[in-house]
Amino acid sequence: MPATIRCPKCQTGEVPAPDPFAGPGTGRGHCPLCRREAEVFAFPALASGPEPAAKARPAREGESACFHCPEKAAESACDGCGALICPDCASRWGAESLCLSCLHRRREDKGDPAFARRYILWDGVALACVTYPIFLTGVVAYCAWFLGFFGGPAALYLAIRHWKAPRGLVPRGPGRMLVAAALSVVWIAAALGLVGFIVYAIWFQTRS
Amino acid sequence: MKRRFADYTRLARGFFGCSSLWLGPDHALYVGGKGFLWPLVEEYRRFDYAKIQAVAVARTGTYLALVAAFALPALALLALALWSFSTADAFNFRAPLGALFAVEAAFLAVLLVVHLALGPTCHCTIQTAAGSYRVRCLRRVRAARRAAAALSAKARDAQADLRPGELPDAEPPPAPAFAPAASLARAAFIASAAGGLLWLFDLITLDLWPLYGWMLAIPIAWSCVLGAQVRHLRGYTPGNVQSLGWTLAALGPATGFFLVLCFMNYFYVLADSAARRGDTIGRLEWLEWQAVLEPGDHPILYALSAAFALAWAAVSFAYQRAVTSAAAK
Repeated sequence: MPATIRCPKCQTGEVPAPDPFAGPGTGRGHCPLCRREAEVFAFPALASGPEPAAKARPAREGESACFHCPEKAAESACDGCGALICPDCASRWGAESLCLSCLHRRREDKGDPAFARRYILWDGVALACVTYPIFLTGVVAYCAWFLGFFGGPAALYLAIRHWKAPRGLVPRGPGRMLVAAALSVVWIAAALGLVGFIVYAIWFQTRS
Repeated sequence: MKRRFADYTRLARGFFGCSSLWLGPDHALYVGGKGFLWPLVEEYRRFDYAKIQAVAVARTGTYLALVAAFALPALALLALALWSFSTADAFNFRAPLGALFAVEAAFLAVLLVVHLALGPTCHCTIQTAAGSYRVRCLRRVRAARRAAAALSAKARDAQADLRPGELPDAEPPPAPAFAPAASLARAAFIASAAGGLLWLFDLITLDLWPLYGWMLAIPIAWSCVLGAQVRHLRGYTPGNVQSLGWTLAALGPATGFFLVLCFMNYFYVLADSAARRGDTIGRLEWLEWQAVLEPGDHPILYALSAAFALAWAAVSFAYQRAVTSAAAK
């Protein structure tokens, strides 16, 4: 059966792929559903069939047993914790061979960037607090009260609280955080100035 | 954004650094950002070179749509600028107005040239045994081909030991099920309701200031709905749903246009009556173009708006029924 790939446009139809063992190069095929032409770079993994499943053999007398399943023979050691493990319990991550509990621990441990799945970019969130309301209403004057009393303090809090938090897997400078902090200070100062002016105006009115 | 970090080298990046693709020692790293204008959350997907089955690139119609979106307004603004310059004299402000139109036309022309230089647009996906994933930073055919060639070299090196295997002789894939656009209906409802509430707020307060902001919000909300609708229709959609959907997509903006015209006219009448009472607060200037509509034309305008709104509601109802019945089949 010829190999096929999922249509990149509609993600539903199957587009015929070229023979990946014929050498590097591309093939073209049409999606039968959306009728769009796709250019396909196919690799041997597409047509090499399913990977043979690892098969652990039972442990014999005097042979090292797997740390997680003692009835099976151990064939390697986990690069994370050093436990002896059978092929069923071993998983590969790059050049490392890890047991499933180490793999789980690394995935859950947010400090290990090699396994990070998701980061909240607090500098972006802080910047959003002091700028998104402007996009929402279209006029600065109309949302100044919100920016001064809510958005500004929130952005300042986020900037201080998450100053040292990782800014994503790809390293970035503190530019966004600095802009957010500066804008938040401006908005807070403007709001305080407005309150001060109102208080002064009331005081001046009552005195006269 | 950096070109290298740790063991990674950047292969491609999207607009505003929202998404990027990196080549690592034994895997490719896709960084997908979510947010408006800049990313608020980043999600990472790693593709082991030994597991990548294919990279696919399909051209999209966005290229032509963007050419039209840049070229038509640029031409219209250029015509307006020429008209303003030709009718300018010492007693009107058409010369600076013409200059403003010319600057806007030039800005759009620059965008058009950049867009043409970048080349055709595409969707690019990386397929593994686990699924097919869209790489959003590869939106241009040229960049996608370059990235695919770099990935191809790495993937072929990692898969040099693989031999042709027997692929399971499977039945041809069944016709795909039509996915109902439940989220689309919800989005349409939310956008319409939000737009309606904002207009209601404007009507109650009779204040034109917030109108500037809301006028921006409503077309954005409508464009989101329209975009989702077009995107849905361009996927696998049964014939009757497709025709109704395209009708709805065309009726939506037309209805919106007439409703906006109606509201502008309504505000003009209000402001005009306020001005007649001597309450001249300078609101009339930006509504002056409404004066081209004679009072006798107002009923026609309102009738047209009502007809479009009714047609939109009827087609909307038919579309939802067709979607439900197609999904049930």
